[in-house]
Amino acid sequence: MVYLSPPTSSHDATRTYLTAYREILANRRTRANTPSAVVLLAALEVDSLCACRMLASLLTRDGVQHRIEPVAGYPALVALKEQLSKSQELHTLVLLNIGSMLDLASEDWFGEFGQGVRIHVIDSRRPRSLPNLFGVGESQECIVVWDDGEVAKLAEERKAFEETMFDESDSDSEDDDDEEEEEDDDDDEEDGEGTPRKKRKLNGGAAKRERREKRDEYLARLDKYYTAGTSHGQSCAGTIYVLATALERADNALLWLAILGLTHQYLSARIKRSTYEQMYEVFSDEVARLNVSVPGTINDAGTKQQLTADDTGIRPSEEMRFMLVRHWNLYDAMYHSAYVMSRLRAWNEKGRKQLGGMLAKMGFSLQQCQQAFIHMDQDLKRSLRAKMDNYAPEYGLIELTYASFTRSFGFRLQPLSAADVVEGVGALLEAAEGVKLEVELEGGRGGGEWFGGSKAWQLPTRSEGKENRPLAPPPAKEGEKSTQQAEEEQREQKEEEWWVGNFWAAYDALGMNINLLRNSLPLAMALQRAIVRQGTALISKRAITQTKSFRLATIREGPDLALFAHPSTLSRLALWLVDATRNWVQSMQVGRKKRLLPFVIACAKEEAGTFVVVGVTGAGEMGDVRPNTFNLAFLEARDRSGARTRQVTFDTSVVEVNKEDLHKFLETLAMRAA
Amino acid sequence: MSTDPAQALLLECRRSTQTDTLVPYNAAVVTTIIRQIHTIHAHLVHSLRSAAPPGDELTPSPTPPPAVMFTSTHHHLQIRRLKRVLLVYHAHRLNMLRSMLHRAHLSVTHLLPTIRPLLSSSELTFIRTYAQIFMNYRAEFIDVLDIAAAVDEPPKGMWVNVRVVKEVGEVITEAGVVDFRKGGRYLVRRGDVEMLLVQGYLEVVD
Repeated sequence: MVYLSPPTSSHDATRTYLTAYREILANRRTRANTPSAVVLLAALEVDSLCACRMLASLLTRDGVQHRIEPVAGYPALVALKEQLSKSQELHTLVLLNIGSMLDLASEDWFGEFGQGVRIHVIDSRRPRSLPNLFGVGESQECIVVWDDGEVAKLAEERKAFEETMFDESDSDSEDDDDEEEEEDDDDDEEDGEGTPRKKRKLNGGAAKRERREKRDEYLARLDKYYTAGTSHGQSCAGTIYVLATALERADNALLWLAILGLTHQYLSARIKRSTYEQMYEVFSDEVARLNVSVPGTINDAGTKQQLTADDTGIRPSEEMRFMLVRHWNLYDAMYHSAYVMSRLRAWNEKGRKQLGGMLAKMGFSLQQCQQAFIHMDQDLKRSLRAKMDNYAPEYGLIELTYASFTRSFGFRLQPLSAADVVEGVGALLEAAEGVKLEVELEGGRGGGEWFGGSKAWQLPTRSEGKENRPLAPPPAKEGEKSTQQAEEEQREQKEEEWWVGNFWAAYDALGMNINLLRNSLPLAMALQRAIVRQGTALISKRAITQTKSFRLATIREGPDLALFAHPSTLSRLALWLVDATRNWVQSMQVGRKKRLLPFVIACAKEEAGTFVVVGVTGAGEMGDVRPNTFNLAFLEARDRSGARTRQVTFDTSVVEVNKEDLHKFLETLAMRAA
Repeated sequence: MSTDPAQALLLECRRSTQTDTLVPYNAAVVTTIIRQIHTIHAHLVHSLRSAAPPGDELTPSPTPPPAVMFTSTHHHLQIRRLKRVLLVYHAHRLNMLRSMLHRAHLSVTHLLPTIRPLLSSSELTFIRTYAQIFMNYRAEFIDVLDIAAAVDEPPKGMWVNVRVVKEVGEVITEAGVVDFRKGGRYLVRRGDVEMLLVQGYLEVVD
C-alpha cells in the first residue's frame, strides 16, 4: 500500500525516503538491534550491488546492525524466505532489485510475516505489481515501495485498480449478480444486431451495463499496464543516493556508486540515452559540488593530468565507446566493442580490413595499436581524440563518445572510468568463480615474450600469501546415495556457493579493494573476448535464423558453453548481437519495412540438461530502448506448449527450458508472436 | 652426550618455540631423567657413605679424600643439570599453555579439544585452575576493562563486518538473537562476537 516519494521538498506532507529510513533507525532503539533485525537482500546485478553497498554504509554509520544476503533468483528467495520467517527479531527487510513484480503481501511471499515486519522494495524494474503500490489492508501496509515519482503518473491505473478490486468484492457478495451478468454477456454478443430483447432489458440493466463497461475498461487498462513490457526506472543506487542527499550525507564514495549504478543501466541497454543524459546532468552537478578542489578535467583518454597520492576525486569525462580502452590496446578495444562492430561489420575479413584501414588513415601503425594503451606513443594518444573525430565519421562511427565520469585511485591504480568499473565488477559477478577463463598476461604482445602467455583467472583468495593453505576437502564418498537426486543436490549446492562467492568478490572490489578491482579488468577483457568470439561465430556461421517476429540463435556447443549458461552473460551476448547486427540488418531489409526484430538466444546448460533462453528487444537506434515484452511471451509460450520451464533469475526475460521441450517452446513462441 | 635424554628434551623445547607449536608432553623422557637423578643420587650417597670413616661421627674429617671429593662434585653437578633441564622444559610448556589460553580468550572449553592429547594430567589441572583464577580476577573490573582482550590488533571501531566461515546457528547476544548463516555478511557489535571470531567461526572483512 505504502509508496514513498522522493524527498524533493522537505515540507512535503507525504511519506518520503527519509521517513522510511528514520523508521528503520527508530526501530534500532525501540526494538532489538541485532543483525537479524535488518536484512538486505540484493540481486546479482551491478546496480543492486552498488545500492547494497551504499545502504550498508549508511546503516553502518548509524550503528544499525544488519545482515546482507545475495539472492540469485526465485528458488534462493523462497529458501531465504522460509529461513527468515522463523526469525523473531526481523523487523525490516529491504529488497534491492527484487520482486517489484511479485504480489509481496500475498501468503505465497511475505504475507505470513505479520504486522511487525516492514518490507521495503527498491526496484528499478517496471511495471510494478499494483497491489504493492495501491493495495489496502493490514498486510499491504507492511509493503513499502520506494518510488521515483512515477506513481503520480499512474493515477488512471490506480483508479482502475481500486475500482476493479472493489467490484470483485461486490460480485462475490451478491449471488444473483452473476446470473444477470451472464445474461448481459448474451446481450453483448447480439449488440451489433440490436435485438428487441436488448431494448426490453435496457431499463433494468442500463446502470449495471454501464458499470460493467466501465469495469471492462478498467481491466483493459490494467492489462495494458502489465503487458507493456519490462522497462527500467530510476536505478536502485540512484534511489539510495537520493536518500543520502536528503540525509545530507552524500559523499564521493556514495556518489561514485550511484554513478556506477546509472552507468550499468545505460551500458546494459536498460535506459534510453535521453534518460541517461538527464541523470548525467544531475550527477555532474553533484560531482562538481563534491569535488571542488579538483582542478581540470580529463578531456580524453590518456591526457596527462596531475595526480596526487590521495586523490580519489571524481571528474566528468568524455568516454569513447571502446571497451576498456585505457587498459587494453586500441585495436582490441575497438574490435571488441559492439559499437565499432556494428558500424564496420568487423566480423568478417572485409570488416577487419576496414578497421585496419581506418587506423592506417589516422596514421596509427598497427604495431602501435596492438601495444598496451598506456605504452602507446604519447603524441598518438594525445591526438587520438581529434583524429577519431576527423576520420571516424567516414566509416560511420558517429556519436563516438558519451559523457561519463572518471575516478582516480591515487597512485594505486590508473584512473578508471565508470564503464571500466562496471565491466570489471560485472565480470566478477559472472565469472569470478565457477567458470574457467583464460586471461592474457601483461606484456605478452608488442615485443614481449614470444608466446604471449595466458593463465586461468583465479580469485585472489583471502589466505593469499599463506603457505599452508587448507587442502580442498576430498570428494565425498558416494556409497549409499549415488542417486541422481543426490547428484543434483550436490550440483545445486556447488552452483550456489560460487554465485555467493562471486557476489562477495564483486562487493569487495567495489569497496576499494584495489587489487581485486585491478585483477577484474583482465577478466572483463577475457569475458568480452569470449562474447565477441561466440557472437562473430554465430554471425559468420549464419547460425541466426529468422522467424516472423524474432531472430533466433541457439548455442549447443563450443568452448565457452559453461560461460554462456550464466543468464546475464547470455543477455550480454544477445545485446551485443543486437548492437552488432543493427546496421547490417537494416541494410538487408531494404524492401521491407525497416524494423529491428527482437533477439532470442538459447544456450545449452549441459550439466542441468536445460537451455537458458534470453530474449532482448532491439531498438532501431543505438541508445534507444524498447520495453521488453518477452516476459509475457515466454509465459504464454510455456502455457501453450506445455514445456517445462522455470524462472531462475529476477530478470523477467530469462527462462530455463528443459532440453526436450526447447523445440516445442521456441515454435510456440514464434507462432504466438506472429 | 648425544644419547643424553636431557639433550633431546632441550631440543624439543627449542623446536617448539621456533615453530610456535605445542608438542605432546614427553612423559617417557621426563621419567627417564627423574630416574637418572635418583640413580645418580644413590651413587652420590653411596660414595659419601663409603668415604666417611665408620664410627667416627662425632668428629668428621675436615676434608674427604680427593677421589671422593671429585666423584661427589661430579654427581652433584649432574643432578643439578638434569634438574635445570626439567625446570626449563616445564617452564617452557607452561608459558606456551598460558599464551595459548590467552589467545583463545581464556576459554578452556574451546582450547581443550585441540590440545587435550598433548597435555599431561597436571598440566590439565594447571590450565583449568589458571583460567579460573584469571576469570575471577578479571570479573572484578570487567565493566571497565577486559584484560583478556588481545592487544596486538586494536579494534578500529565498535562495529565489525563479519562473514560466516563455519555455520554457527543462533547466538544470543546482548541485543537479541542472531542467526549466523553461511553466505551472508553481518554487521555486529565487536564485543558480541569477539569469542566467535577467536574461535574461528566468523571472520572479519574490511
